[in-house]
Amino acid sequence: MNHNSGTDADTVRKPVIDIRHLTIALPKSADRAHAVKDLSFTVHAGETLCVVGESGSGKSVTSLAIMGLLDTGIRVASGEIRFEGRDILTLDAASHRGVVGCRIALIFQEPMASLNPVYRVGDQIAEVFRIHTDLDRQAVRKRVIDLLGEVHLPDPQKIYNAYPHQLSGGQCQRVVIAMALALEPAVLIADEPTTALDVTTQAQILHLIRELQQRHRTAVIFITHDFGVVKDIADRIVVMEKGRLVESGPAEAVLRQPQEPYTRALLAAVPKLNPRDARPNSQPLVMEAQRLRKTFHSGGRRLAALDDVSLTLRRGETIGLVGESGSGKSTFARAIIRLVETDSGEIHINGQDITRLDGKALRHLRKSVQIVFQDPYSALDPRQTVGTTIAEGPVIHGMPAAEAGARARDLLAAVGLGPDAAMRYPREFSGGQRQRICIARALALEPDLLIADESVSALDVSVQAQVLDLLNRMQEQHGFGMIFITHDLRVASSICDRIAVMQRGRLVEVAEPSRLFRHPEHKYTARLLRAVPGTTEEVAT
Amino acid sequence: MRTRFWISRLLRTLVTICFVVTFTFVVLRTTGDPVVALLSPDALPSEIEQFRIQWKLDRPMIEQYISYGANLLTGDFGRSYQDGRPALQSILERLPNTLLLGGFSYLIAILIGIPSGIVAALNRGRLIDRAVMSLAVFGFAMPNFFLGILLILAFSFGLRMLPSAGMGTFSHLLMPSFTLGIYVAGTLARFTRSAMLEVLDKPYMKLARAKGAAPFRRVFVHALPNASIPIVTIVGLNLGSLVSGAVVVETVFGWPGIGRLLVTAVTARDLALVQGLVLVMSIFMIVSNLVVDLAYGILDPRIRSSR
Repeated sequence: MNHNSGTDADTVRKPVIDIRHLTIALPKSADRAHAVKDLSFTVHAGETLCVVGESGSGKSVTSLAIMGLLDTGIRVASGEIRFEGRDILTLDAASHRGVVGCRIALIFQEPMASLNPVYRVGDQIAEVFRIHTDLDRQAVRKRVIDLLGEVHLPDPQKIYNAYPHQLSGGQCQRVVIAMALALEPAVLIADEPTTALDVTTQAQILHLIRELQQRHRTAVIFITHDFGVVKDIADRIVVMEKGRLVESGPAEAVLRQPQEPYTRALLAAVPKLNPRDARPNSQPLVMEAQRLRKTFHSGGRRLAALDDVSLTLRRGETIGLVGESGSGKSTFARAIIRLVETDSGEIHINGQDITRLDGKALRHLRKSVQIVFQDPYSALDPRQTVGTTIAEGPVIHGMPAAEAGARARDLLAAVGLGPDAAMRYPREFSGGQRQRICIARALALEPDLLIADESVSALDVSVQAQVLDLLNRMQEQHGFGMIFITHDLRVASSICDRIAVMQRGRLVEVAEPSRLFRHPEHKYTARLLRAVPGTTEEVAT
Repeated sequence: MRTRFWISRLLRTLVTICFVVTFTFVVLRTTGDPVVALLSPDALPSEIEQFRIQWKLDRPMIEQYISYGANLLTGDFGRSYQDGRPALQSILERLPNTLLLGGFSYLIAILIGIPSGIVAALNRGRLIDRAVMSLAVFGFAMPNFFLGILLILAFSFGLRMLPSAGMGTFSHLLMPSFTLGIYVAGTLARFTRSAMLEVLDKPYMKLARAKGAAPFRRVFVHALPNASIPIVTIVGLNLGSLVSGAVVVETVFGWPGIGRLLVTAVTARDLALVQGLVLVMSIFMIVSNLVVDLAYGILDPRIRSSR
């Protein structure tokens, strides 16, 4: 463990949160005894402390312990969590509730799911005042409307009366922030608050948190796995691995001169904004989409998901599809595999127009276009062995079972899992391993076109790097064309030959990464690039 | 949008009622001769013929159907073959008794079922959860005629605390409504438990705790309204089982409701009465389903805005 921190400052000021030798025990059935072991750190007023680490590092459990929100079976075994000098672990339930929500507030990862769907958002913020203050109805309403304005929500009166489902993800997160800051807490814990948001919305939310923090001198504990975000907002950093503190110190020092090998490995795995040139490619076209249009109608509203989109892809080429939620990326992918019917336009796969195929011809097309989804946990049938899952596609398309089984084992070896994995069930594998299985399943049909829909978004940076490398290697071996859908421009810049930027159903710009990043032609592309966290220096270099 | 939703619901309701009327009409006339059931086995052929003419059973079926349908529109359900009284009058005399029994049973079911489901969910995996769930299984696995007889044996013949049959006082109501309600209570407890478990794990429940909301508020203000859609669905569906259960319970406890009336009417092949009863029960089911649909919109703003 290394503490290259500015301890001088610590001794001068009194910390708002002081965690001392915190150990959190897991239930007996868990894979290890402790979620957190002997953790100590402090946070001061007006300071942003970033807690970084991969899945299972104990960063979220720590924040839940501060809030007294640990799940049943997980308990604080020893240590102290001192808030303004008092150990809050020793408080009774009622006194604890008086601190939590009032003096310490929390923002979660999923803004939509954090708000109760059956109540108006204004009433949900008002509840904080009802629980902790004696203000009357009118005064509360006024305070809530002020807060909604403070987090820059347009038309606060209207937002007050809206239900969560009527707001966007970014607007919901602003509501949650307004709720958290309602009583001007001394500490704000933000647990991956921007992970589920678009890059532009993420930038706005980060800016908002910083602005409010400066105004109210709030101490912020920011939990994240995104080093781009860390670079943008951290004053100090705590790096955690498997429940232990690995390294802590001022942001500059930890990011520029990490002392511990684990920190160095984490930083090395972060995709660099290193826009590459397109690889020379004279292969035949595998996909050609021409003038695709698709409009969705919902509740009397029209939404143009695809508006005159034309795009081509060669064998062995990777094209990145980037843009905010609702820009039409996923609709495009679904149209290519005919999960969505377009209103007009043509899609050629290997020279054949597929928009009018049905029956047997459509099933044959499914063989040549495969997709890898975002969530490797829900994409695999939990009751099928991995081998059966991978072999199922080839068997459906007429391959003898023994041959399909052999291919499944070969592919498992190729994706780095070993042929023995075929006999095991998905629950026995980690997220990254499951995504490898999904890739093996897609490749089992020897597709000409592979669609990766946010396939690495749910993975830790180190695992993400491995899966990206695997996709690259597999493409070199099998020569398929790849459509890579992502909201992460760093990843797109490193893996794609060309990047297509989409906005509100339109394709606004297509270019190779090196040109797109240095000389974006469309102002939306420029805005998207500016919003990538932690890139100011990288783009300049 | 909302007007169109209600018009389509109303049309569907009318189609269902027409279907029920036609189905009962056809089935009752194709599965046996009411004359044989009503008149004594040694009735003369001339008496049988006269009965047929009197009740217009000699006319073609389509003609009988049209005349029955036209009469229904004027509120005329026909007359009972047994006593010659208007069928609707006999039904309306008995209906309040069944509604009293059903309503009280439902009160018992809701008061026992929903709180036990909540308690089980909040104590998931603990002894209390297992105990509540075992009782719930007992509630809906026990045939209600058997439970009824057990209760009569215990409280009427054994302890001599409650009357075994008939109606009139509050103590007459207790055993039949408990017998009827306990089945629904068991089902409700199970569904409430699973609906609550699903909601209790949601991030907004965690946020409610993070706000400093007390446990009572978290359960009743935050969790229960979100768990209410499956609960309300089960409440609506079980209204039907209350009526069908009433057939058995009213017979066991000699309760003068429409369930018992149905049993005697079916045995006697009293066409007008059976048709009238089936129609009233169907309308009851259809209306309760409409109320459930309406409740969805009130309980969940997402459903409200999609209409």
